Amino acid sequence: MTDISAQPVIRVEDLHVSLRRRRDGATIHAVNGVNFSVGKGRTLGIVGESGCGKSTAAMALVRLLPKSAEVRGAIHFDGRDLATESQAALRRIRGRKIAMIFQDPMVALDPLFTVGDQLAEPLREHLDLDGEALHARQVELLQAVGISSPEARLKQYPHQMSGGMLQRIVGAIAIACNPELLIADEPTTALDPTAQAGYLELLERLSETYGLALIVVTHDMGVVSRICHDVMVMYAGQTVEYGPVRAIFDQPRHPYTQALLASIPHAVQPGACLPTIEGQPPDLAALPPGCPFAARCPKVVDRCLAEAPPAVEFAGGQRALCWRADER
Amino acid sequence: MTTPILEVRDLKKYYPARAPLFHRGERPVVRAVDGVSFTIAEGETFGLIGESGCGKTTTVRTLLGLEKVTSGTIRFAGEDVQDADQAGWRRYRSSVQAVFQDPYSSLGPRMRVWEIIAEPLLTAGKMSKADIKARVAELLEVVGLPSDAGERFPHEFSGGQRQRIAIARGLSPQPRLLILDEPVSALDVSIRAQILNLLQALQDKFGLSYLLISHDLDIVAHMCRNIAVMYLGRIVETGTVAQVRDNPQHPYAQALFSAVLPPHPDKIKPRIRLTGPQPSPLNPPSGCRFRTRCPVVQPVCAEIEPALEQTCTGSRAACLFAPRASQEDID
Amino acid sequence: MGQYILKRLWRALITLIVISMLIFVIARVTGDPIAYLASEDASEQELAQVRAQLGLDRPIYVQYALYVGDALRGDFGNSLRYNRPAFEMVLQRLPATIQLSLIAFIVSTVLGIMMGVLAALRRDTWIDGALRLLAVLGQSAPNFWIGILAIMIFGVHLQWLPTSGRVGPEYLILPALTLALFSMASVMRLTRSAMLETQTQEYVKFLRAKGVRESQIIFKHMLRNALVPVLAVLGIQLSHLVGGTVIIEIVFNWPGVGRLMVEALLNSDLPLIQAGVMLIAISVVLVNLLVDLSYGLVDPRIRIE
Repeated sequence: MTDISAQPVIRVEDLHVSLRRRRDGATIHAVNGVNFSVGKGRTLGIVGESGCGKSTAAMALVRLLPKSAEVRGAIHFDGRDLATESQAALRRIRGRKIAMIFQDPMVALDPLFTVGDQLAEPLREHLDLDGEALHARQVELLQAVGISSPEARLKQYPHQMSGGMLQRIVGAIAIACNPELLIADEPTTALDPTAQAGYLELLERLSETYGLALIVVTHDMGVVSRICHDVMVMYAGQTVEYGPVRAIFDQPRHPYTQALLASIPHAVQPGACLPTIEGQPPDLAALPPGCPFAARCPKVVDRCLAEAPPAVEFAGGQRALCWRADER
Repeated sequence: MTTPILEVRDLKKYYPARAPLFHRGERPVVRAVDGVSFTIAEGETFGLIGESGCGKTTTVRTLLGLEKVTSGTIRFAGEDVQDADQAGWRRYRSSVQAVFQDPYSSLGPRMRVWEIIAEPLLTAGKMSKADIKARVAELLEVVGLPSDAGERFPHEFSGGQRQRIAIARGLSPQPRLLILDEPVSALDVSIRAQILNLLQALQDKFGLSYLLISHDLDIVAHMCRNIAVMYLGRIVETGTVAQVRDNPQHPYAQALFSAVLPPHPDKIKPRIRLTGPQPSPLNPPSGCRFRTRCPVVQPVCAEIEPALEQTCTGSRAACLFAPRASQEDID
Repeated sequence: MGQYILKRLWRALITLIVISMLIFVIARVTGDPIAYLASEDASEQELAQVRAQLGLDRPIYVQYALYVGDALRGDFGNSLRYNRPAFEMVLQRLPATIQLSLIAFIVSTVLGIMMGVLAALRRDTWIDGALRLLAVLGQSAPNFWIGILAIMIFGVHLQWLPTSGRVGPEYLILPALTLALFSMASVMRLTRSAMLETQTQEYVKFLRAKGVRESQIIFKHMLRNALVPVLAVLGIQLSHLVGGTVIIEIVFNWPGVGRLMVEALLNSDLPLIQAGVMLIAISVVLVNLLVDLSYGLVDPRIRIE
């Protein structure tokens, strides 16, 4: 099932991102040595809690980071290394070969301009379309995402549309220039259950129809189990586990993944105590040596506090960074 | 049968809408809550679920006295709240407290934690300062915060800890009913479990009743015994979790529960999609409000407004076509 | 949008009616007008004569009816001092005032917005600091003081510009710039903070993700959004078009409505005062109405209800 031997659309090697904390100027190591790849038509979920670095890692792929950010490592895409390309070159890739969408479609668009205008922007900018050709493409895109009467919709403003409609508009804008990779950063966090489900279905359909590689950044394991093929679990800026979704759900090897899966209410008897992870994530400006999860890990041993664990490989492409990964 | 802690009957809250300049006839109203009834037994957790715009927030605000009721009754521990005198009303207000969704905006940033927790007591003015401080210390311990937290400010704490402060504040006047409005939605997954466990423990320890509002159906299923599903200001189905979640009879409840994300990739269920325009509470559809989006709508649905009737599973649903309880089911 | 316009028109009308009543009442409430008009040693008979002439011996509602009737025809009586139709006199001075305040408005708006955008884009640099300092100075220094200072420096000392009267275009420079200073400072500060706020909006992030050019993001999207709150303030500033120039007109001896009003007040010239106040009120209401209508042009959320 996991055929990563075919040339992946994007391959990230040893990615490090550091940011400067505004409050006191300290350096935050937001991402510390992350590796992953996504193939054509495949969906990778990057999952973790707030502060784990997943959004930073995603934004780093197109270098949409604050000026003070430093990026090290390699981001192989389309025969180039995005980590070293200039901002000008990256601007031509954003929206064109790599599209990115964010949390809430209701605020994704400028309220003062028509939907058509904002849909036209990437088409004009990247594909140089104009006049008839531009209009035809706009209509085509709206129809592709299932919007009826596209002509009328193009002239409308965002506030005239429902949440569901705006989701599809955002989807249409994302695929406007036929990108190879779509990154969705917490696409469903602010949404109701039915809106959430609808958005995920849309992403899934777009990925299948256009052969897009899809990266979904989320904190919700439910999102991962719904549409992802592979998943990367992050904690304190590092990958702690990576592999095909089924394998991870069936047999999580890292204690953090195990704890995350166990604390979903669905897994527990109603009324019983939910398993919890005591403590807090570490301060990213002052990371302890060894495994970042050691301080909260129920399976911690002395070695974990001193040495950073290696990646332990399992069958089917699953790997976990834990000294005790192959127990049980 | 003991008196339920809260009995809401046919609660309505309408807001006047802006009328055009030379409008004739009745002023348009937003029917935010349009006839909601439910009962919470003492010591129980009752769940109110629904999507944005269904009226659950307005219901909460009315129960807390933040909005005036347009019509309907609220009985707390057997006493009619609307009819109460000053003293009765104050008793009600201190017996019903709330914990809100956003731990970052629900705590006054310029107040010290002990002041925040003690605020309900300070306003009541009945306890001495020493007694209040002692109570705050007690509460800090009960919610699992360090004893020195009192002198600090909210911004020094994490989201989960702030929610604990909010819970402590809710507990300070010794309420009997806590309204939890999306208490863990803004928190990380691992922290959610901690807070939910705390709430469970507090309920066991103090015999509290909870009204839980959430759009996270898993959490509601975990914490509640009875639930009600709201749509456009009305309750469309109500019953136990087992009845409503596992076998919903109302088409909206069916669609809602089918949208829940699967706990495992092998457990992906087909989703019931709702199509059709979203109706507005300014002008709800005639007959059944859900008919404009209902996948199994019939012509008669536009004529008759369905009432909550007992179904074959034991839940009550407001749908003309939900299979009714037969006489054998009821017996 | 139709509803929006109708509501605004209706309110404008009501405002004018109320103001006219207020003017009427205040003028009569501040004591017997006659006492100021006739000469010191006028006899009772003469006073009565003047009273009858001005219609001040009629019942109050009759007076008001006459007043409204006359006002609608633009007749506010004759100036007691100059013995010419009051409204005409005021209208005659109007072009001078409008010229002054309009130029000041344009200067303060254009410069204010430019400086605000610059300060926002170069946030926390020395440019930002310098511009903000300028803004604080502009808002805290009283404009008559600035005016006198300008006269001393540019008029007396350097002798670059004339400082009194309205003879040619160069006479406009000092008064207009002095008048512009305060409003330019507020516009600059507001533009800056509005721009900074748009920077944090989600749609800006999405625009960057789409690969839109930074210049387009700033000038097409951010600026337009930032201008929505700025427009409200501009509207208020514009409504001071006729009434807000008084002090500058006095300092620079500019022959406008403001200066005329001060003279009229000093002379207790009632008809002239009434005419002037009414004109100022009309212009404020009219400008406010136009500004309100323009919101619909800028913000589609208002336009489409």
